[in-house]
Amino acid sequence: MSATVEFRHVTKRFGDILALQDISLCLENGEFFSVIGPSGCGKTTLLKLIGGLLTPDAGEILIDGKVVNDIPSYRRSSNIVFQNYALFPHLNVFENVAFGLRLQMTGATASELRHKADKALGVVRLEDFGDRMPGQLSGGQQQRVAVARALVLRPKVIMLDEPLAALDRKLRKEMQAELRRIHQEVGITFVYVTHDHEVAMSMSDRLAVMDHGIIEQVGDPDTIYHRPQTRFVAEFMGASNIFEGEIAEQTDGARALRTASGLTIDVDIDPSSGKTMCLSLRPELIDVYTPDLGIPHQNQYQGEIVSRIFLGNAVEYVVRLETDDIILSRVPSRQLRQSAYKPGDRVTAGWNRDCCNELKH
Amino acid sequence: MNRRSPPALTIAAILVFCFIYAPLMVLVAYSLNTAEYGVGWGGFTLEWYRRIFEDRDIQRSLGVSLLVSIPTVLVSTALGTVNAFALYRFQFRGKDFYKFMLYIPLVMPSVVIGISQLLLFVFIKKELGILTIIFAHISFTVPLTTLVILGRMQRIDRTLEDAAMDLGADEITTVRRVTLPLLKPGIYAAALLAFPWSFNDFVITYFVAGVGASTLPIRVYSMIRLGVSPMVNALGTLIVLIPLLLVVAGILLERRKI
Ligand SMILES: Nc1ncnc2c1ncn2[C@@H]1O[C@H](COP(=O)(O)OP(=O)(O)O)[C@@H](O)[C@H]1O
Ligand SMILES: [Mg+2]
Repeated sequence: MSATVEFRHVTKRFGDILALQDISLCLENGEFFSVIGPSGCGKTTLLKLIGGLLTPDAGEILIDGKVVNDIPSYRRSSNIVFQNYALFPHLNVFENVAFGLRLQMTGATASELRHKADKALGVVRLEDFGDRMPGQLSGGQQQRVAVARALVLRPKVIMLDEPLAALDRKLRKEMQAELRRIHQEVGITFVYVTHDHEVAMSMSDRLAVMDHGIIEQVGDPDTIYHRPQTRFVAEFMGASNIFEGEIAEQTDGARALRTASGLTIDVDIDPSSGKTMCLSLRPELIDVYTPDLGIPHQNQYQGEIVSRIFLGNAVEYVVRLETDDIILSRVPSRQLRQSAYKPGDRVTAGWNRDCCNELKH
Repeated sequence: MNRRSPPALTIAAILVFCFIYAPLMVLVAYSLNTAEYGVGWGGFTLEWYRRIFEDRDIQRSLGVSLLVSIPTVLVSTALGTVNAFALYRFQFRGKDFYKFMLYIPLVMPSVVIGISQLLLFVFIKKELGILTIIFAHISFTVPLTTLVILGRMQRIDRTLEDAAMDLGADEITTVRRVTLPLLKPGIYAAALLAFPWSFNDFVITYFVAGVGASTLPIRVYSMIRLGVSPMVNALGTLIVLIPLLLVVAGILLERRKI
């Protein structure tokens, strides 16, 4: 597969604000790529750079192997579905969809235009809405018009900027499925921006996690979820147990991490380098049980429940170990006997060696 | 639930309303009065209105007024649009100062504007007449049209223009297909507000009109000097009503949602 969009050491500043810092990135042809990160980390800026609505201060942007730094937005084969949809309020749905077509197909007959626009409206299932004004549509419908308006031009890449943020939960689920379907149907590269890591994981072939104008990690959802490389990615993906300490060798030859608080954690990792190491551990990999149950985990620690949050399909426990380390554990609800612990109960928290993931820094 | 306003407030509101409109109602009443002299009510008539429509001088003045106001509105709306674009779109030195300067003519006494316009025309040796009136009118209506259009422009979502460019429209196409259509209600509102400003103006026009060109307000003034006749009342009523309707239309347009 070849790259549709490539960033080579791209930097973008707004005055004193460094919005993007030395970004290098490759989007494969036809993939569904998500960009996630907290608000203000530079996601929209990244999209606008691809679309040509902003120009980089340093570095090169390539679309289909050609440097496009000096190509204005209206001559690039990329389209954005804006965060607020940006439908033209003075034009009806059909004219919104036909807006780009009229400019792209100069000399097209009215029936050619109508055919193409209707087909795009069909893809988003709004065939009968051509005569409506944008103001008469629901949020979900407006968003689909915005998608159709971009799709109809058959760009190399379509970018969606937090397109589901304004929708309620049920509609969001539907639109997610819809976008996946459309992506498979048209085979265009999709870049999807969101701050919701669950949405990104469920939809994407690959994703990039951003923070403060830097790409922290790029990978497929599985890797990002289970093997975060940095503390930021681990925490952003909800792996909130982080341990830092020195590497120690156990008597049986296995490796372990010894924290400053006195915790010794057996690990299954060949530490990359040096004497210290940083680990992340997902809450759902930590078991909480009463000492007498004696489940054989390689790492077991006594502690006390500090608080309990009922999530519906799971229960989250905050456990304070005897070393004063705080641990977050998530236990599935069906293990009913375990959801019964209350704050103050004495428990054992345990996990296996291979559950720990090493963070690079 | 609707909250009913207390009776005292209702009465106060009615009094204020009367205070504003009582003079006007008296004017309208007298314009329909058969008694030509004095203040007594002599009976209902439309005679004075009929006489207005037959009066050659009044017709000529109306012609002059329209000949002044229509070009004034067209030019000052166009200039206001360009001006608002410049103020909103581009950064230049002294922009804030320039913006501030737009407000000054709106609060400056008409007499001062009139005198200074007259001085200017005398200085450049321009003969007074319709052209000088138009020039003066444009200069005092442009701040108004600029500010009205600028207000509308500030309410246009900038991402709409980004979207147009993203969809393949260059800068000029974007302005033509997106910005101007969205600005249209503001442009109409500016024109409808500028018209009565120009059409009704007496003070400034009085200074720059010269002898030949008398607009309708100036005609009314010279008629009054010969004594207040019911015909003046009728004319006054008409002059008030026509621009009033335009202003109401302008406000409604400006309020219309984007
Ligand atoms: N036009 C602009 N002028 C100044 N600062 C901007 C502009 N656009 C974005 N920024 C700043 O750049 C950073 C990244 O913004 P953005 O890309 O919009 O973030 P995100 O979409 O991830 O929320 C933020 O700190 C934001 O305040
Ligand atoms: Mg954003």
